[in-house]
Amino acid sequence: MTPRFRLLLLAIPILGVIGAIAAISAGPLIYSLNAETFNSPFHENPDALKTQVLNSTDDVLPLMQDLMDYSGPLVLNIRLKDYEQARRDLEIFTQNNNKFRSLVVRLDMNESEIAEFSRSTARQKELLQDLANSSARLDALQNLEIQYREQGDRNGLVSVRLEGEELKKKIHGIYDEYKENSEKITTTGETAGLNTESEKESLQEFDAYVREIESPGTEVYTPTRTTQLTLAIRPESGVYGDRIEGSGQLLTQSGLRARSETGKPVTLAIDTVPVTASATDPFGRYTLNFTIGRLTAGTHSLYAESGVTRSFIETLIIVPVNSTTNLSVSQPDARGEVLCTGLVLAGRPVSQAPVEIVWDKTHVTRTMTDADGLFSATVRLPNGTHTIAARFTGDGYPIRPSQSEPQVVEVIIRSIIPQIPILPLVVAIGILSLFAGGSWYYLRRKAGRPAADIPAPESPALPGPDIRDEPVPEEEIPAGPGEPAPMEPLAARYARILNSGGLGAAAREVYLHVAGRVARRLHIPRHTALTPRELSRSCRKEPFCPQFATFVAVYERVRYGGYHAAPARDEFENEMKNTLPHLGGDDH
Amino acid sequence: MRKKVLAAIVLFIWLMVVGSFMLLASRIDLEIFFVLWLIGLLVIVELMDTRFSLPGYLRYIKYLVAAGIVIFGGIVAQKVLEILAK
Repeated sequence: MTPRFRLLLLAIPILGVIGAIAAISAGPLIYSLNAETFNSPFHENPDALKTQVLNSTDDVLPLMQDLMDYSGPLVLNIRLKDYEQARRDLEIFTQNNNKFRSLVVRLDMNESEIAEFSRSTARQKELLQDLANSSARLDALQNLEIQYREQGDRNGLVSVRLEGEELKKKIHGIYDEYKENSEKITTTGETAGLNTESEKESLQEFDAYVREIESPGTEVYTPTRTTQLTLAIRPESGVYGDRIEGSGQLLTQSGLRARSETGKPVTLAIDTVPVTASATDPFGRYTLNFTIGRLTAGTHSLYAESGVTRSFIETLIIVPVNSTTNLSVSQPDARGEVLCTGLVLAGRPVSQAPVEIVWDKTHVTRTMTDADGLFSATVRLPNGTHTIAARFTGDGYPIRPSQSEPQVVEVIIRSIIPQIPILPLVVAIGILSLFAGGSWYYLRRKAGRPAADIPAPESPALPGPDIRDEPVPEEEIPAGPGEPAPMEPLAARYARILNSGGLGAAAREVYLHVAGRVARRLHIPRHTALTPRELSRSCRKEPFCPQFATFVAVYERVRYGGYHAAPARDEFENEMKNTLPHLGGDDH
Repeated sequence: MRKKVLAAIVLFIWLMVVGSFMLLASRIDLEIFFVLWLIGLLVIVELMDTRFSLPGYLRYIKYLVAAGIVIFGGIVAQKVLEILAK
């Protein structure tokens, strides 16, 4: 191979690599979106995030469809007065809505049409809740109206009718707002290619319901009661933490007289969810107390229940209150950990409420308040200046959200040593040592045999430089002290070196002699630069070549293979005797 | 053709194949390229190795392979540390 050809061969891959770099240098692909994962938020790649947002339509669209699918059956259940089912549907609707809102925040879609959809569905949830409560109250009023009519209580009748009219107006107002929201939702849904039939049905059902309650002469079936349970709540409105007392009496019709029931269990339910229970006293009276906790602001329906007997529905209005969140942050320790403590107040401590500790606006650690409204969390921060704030979202509470003043923390981790984890360091050193050992073994081993089987080299070897694979010229082998002149016969030299230097050195002496003669016969210049095997291959078309090749094979086994036992020596000497006559000339 | 020339050509073809596939996949990864180069070199060295003699060029290639094994160990250690860090 000519040097020019070699250079050309080398130039091709070099030019290929330069070309590949030039092809991608205009817009280098730092992260492969399909294959790479970000090690930390600091690796956030804006391009990657954009694509991730686009890919997240897989998550957003099904949730949007779920939200629209629930609204239709929900309104229908309210219209059919199946409040239990409506409550369950509303819970699922609320869960989906919360998930959707979190997704919108996570995907940073706050300014998009999707965010508008999220706001509309959140409002729709509140409207549906109001509708359920108002509808339940309207039912209760209709029952009361029948009762008062039977009793001939004109004042009661007027009062109930007036309240009923107010409720109907309220429901109509809810319908107007619901219609506006529903149209927005339908438009967004159609833009996104979703099925909006259920949403449209909900609006039709709502419309039918409004016309139904507003039409005069609606007859409501009221079962004849043999047992009656009364309920009165005090106060009728409250804020978070207020104590609400519900009291009443359980009476059973006994002929023309009412008899009180003793020791009967009575349960108080808010929005069909039981919250507290008690039993009637000897006069059939009961008192139930509960504290306003995790309940959304707005109107809630309350009723008492004892067995199959249910009281009329009372309305409790929960007014939202403002909250304040305080945060204090300790000095960072050696590992960069800070203790965040604080308090959430809404007139009184907010207990068992979720609080988010947000640092650098991107990292969130969640914790809970205790019974006294106190919370604490440990946050580990990296080196640098950080901003920490505590946030109370108020989800599910009649409390408006609040956020603490941001606290600035300067973290300087002075000691480097504690930052280096011991385990990874040990693992890294172990793996590197293992591979270094493998590398050493690779260099020490000989082809075809494990390194452990290599016999120790004979000593002393021939004086002069240690050349294993490159034969040296005869002239370079110095004679030992007291050795005869170079004209000493080969057999004598072999015997002498065998005694003093061992079989390997003696075999080398014989090989150099034989190789010199072969090279002279074949006119090979600088034959000492060739290995025995290369010289053997160079020997062609001569009668002595096969015998020389056999000699070289035995020589290599003795010289480099480490075979120095008596059978190997006999074999070598035998081949030496067979080879020399083929070469002609004398053996000097 | 001499063994070392043949080895150089085979290694060149192997690297061209690896490079071509990387370009086709639009993903040039130096670590994978290095590991595939090392595997190719190991196979070639094993195939051309002699039993009793060690030519000079083969000795130098073996030093290169030994250094490659150590670097490969470094890559493995790095990957293990990444997994441990998650």
